[in-house]
Amino acid sequence: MPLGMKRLIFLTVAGLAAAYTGSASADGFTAEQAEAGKSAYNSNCARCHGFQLEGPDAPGLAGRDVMMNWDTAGGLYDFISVAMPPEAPGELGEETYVNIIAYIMSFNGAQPGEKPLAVGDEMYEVSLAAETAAGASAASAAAPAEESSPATAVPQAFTWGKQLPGGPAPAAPAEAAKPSVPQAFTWGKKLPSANGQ
Amino acid sequence: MKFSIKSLLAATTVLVAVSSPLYAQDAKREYTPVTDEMHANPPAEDWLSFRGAYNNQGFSKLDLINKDTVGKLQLAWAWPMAEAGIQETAPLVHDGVMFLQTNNNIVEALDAKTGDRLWTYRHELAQLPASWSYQLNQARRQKNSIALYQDKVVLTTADAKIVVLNAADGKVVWEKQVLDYNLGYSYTVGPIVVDNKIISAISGCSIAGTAGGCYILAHDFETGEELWRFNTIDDPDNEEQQKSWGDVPPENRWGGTPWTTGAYDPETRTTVWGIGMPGPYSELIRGSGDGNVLYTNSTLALDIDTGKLKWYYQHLPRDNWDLDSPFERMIVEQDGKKMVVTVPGKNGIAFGLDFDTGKYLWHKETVYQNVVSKIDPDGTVHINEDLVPQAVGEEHLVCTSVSGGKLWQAGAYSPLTQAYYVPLTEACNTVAPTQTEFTAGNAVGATKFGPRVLPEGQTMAGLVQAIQVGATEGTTKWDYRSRPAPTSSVLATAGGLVFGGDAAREIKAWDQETGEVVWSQRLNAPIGGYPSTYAIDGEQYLVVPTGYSNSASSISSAFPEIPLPTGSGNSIFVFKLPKQ
Repeated sequence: MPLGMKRLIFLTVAGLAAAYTGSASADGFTAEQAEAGKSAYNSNCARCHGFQLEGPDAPGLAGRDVMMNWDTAGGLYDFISVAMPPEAPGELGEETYVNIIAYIMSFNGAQPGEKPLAVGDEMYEVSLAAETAAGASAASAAAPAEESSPATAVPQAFTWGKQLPGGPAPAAPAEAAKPSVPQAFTWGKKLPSANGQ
Repeated sequence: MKFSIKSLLAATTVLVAVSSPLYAQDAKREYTPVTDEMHANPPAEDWLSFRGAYNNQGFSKLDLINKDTVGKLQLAWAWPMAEAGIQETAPLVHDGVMFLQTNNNIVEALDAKTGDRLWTYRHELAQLPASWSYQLNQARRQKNSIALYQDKVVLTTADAKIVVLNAADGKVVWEKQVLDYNLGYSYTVGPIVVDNKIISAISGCSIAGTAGGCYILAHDFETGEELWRFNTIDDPDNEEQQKSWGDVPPENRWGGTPWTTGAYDPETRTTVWGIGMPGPYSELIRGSGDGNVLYTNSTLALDIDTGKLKWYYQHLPRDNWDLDSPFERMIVEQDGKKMVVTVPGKNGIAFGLDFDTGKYLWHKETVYQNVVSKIDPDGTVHINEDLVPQAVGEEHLVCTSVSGGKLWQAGAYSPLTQAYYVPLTEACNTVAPTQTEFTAGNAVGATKFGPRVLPEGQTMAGLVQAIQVGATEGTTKWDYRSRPAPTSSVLATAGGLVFGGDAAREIKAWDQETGEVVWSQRLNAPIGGYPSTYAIDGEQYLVVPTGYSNSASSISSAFPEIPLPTGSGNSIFVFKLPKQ
């Protein structure tokens, strides 16, 4: 099947990251939280999600799309503090869940800071995509087979690169160093935001 | 046409199959080639396909195990599966040989009487980058990926190949790369084989690289030559289909995955398949406006000779919540007229359709759902537009959840009662669109989901519902509610029983008429896959798969008093009645 690319909007990784770095604060969590979170993750989560957060017996937790889908540290907390781990859902305690989120962010490239991550409204201000932007792209580039894979460039949504309500401002069209994968039809478009952003 | 397994084991080859000498007690095993006629009307002692027969009813004619005898069931033998991962297997049995497919496309042949292993085939899967985690996960949740035909086993693989094995020794006869796994294509369900055509359906169509095409395909059984393919998201013969995606061109369309094996009617040479959700999940990100995004969440009826569409019916237009509708379509006769009967989608709504035309006959709600507001007498489905996000991050509580409602676990139909027995889960989750850059090997959902929670006021996650199937309506015959969720498909038998199991590791038998539990046995792990039954030497056996289960883990917070095991436990347990 030919991969039609005529509607694709190519963005450089750097250009894309720029769309998100506005809210990056590098103080989403502390190094101590990430360190404690690593231990908690490895004993409670890695059995299914993998020691490199790769899965495969449960969804992988590394990568740019994963960070963008969970949106904020609060979004991830809301899920795992109720549903995970399946054999003891919601039973690890608030501090452990927070530490595990710090570790997942750290693994994805986010840098620790002075201010600890804590349960509360501020958690929903910590953008996973922004905090991990540089690191996530580095992490996926580190996968050995990926450089030579024919499918590194994938289609994006029809809306990719477009301003959607509630979405980030579209990055300036890049000179296109490295084509990305196909994106949503609406990618890069301005979409309405539930938060009135 | 009979062959001896023993005589075929001497060959030295470089094929991937791992064979070992056959140490079965009987010196020579006769294996009758499996024909179309057998698939249409299976011998009672066999379980030839994932739902037992072309009609997908999940019914066995065996009746030795019945209400009076089921309490005496004893363990005959057990066997650990060859691979971990999510357990959704369908053990098949023919002429006393059990064919057991497990994750990573390993197939084992076992002596169905003794549990001795006859051969093992381990597919050499393509190695993918670790960052392609969604795609890698597909190899660990294989559903039922084998079919028996003639003297062969037909396997569809996670790296998008069809592999045909000798039933006698597991050696490869031919294999064919059907689609490019580097784009994300992957088989997760097995084919049906009809009139020398292998009808298969590809998965992975929500992975970024597969934009523009998701297929049901036919290949020649002898040569592997492709005969036709039908694209579920881009039909040049149907203008209405194209318009239903609004401005979105084929190269930005995803989804439409037919991820449950279809049914077949030999008389009309028609196969019916169910189709999954669109991608991205929300229309805001998809860019498709209020379009219905055909043929997602539809039933398709295809001519097996041409691959042309005979009719379609859309069960959930304009999906915004990842509520796939690909699940088992059964062909059932009522008052001399053929119907498609199904709970096609995660929202749990049952449908009866006219088999010849696809015309809507009736629907019936099961678990609590809030996404469909109304279905007109002509079958037009109206969605609850209040739940359609208008902005990135706009969150709604949607029932059912992305894990169902209904999920892959198939229901079964009993001609004795004319009832359809369906395993279901009461669940809701929040859904909010995200604007996400897609990456290779990963899905294009672009959605943040909240944890699965029970609907307000509900304390019981599990529901097995018996739906009385009529020509003009479906009604509730009985409900069986439980704290834990059902995690296996169900089996109906001529013994008047329905077998199925749950996250609490209980395999149960219900009275088809009343819903009374007449037998229960606790095993090592959540009950999974597709329990089936067969007979050898006048004795009836019941095989029950167990193991790690997404259906259990996704909703386990609803029944915290029943802790799930932390080991995979993937196994089969085989029961029979004591010798008289």
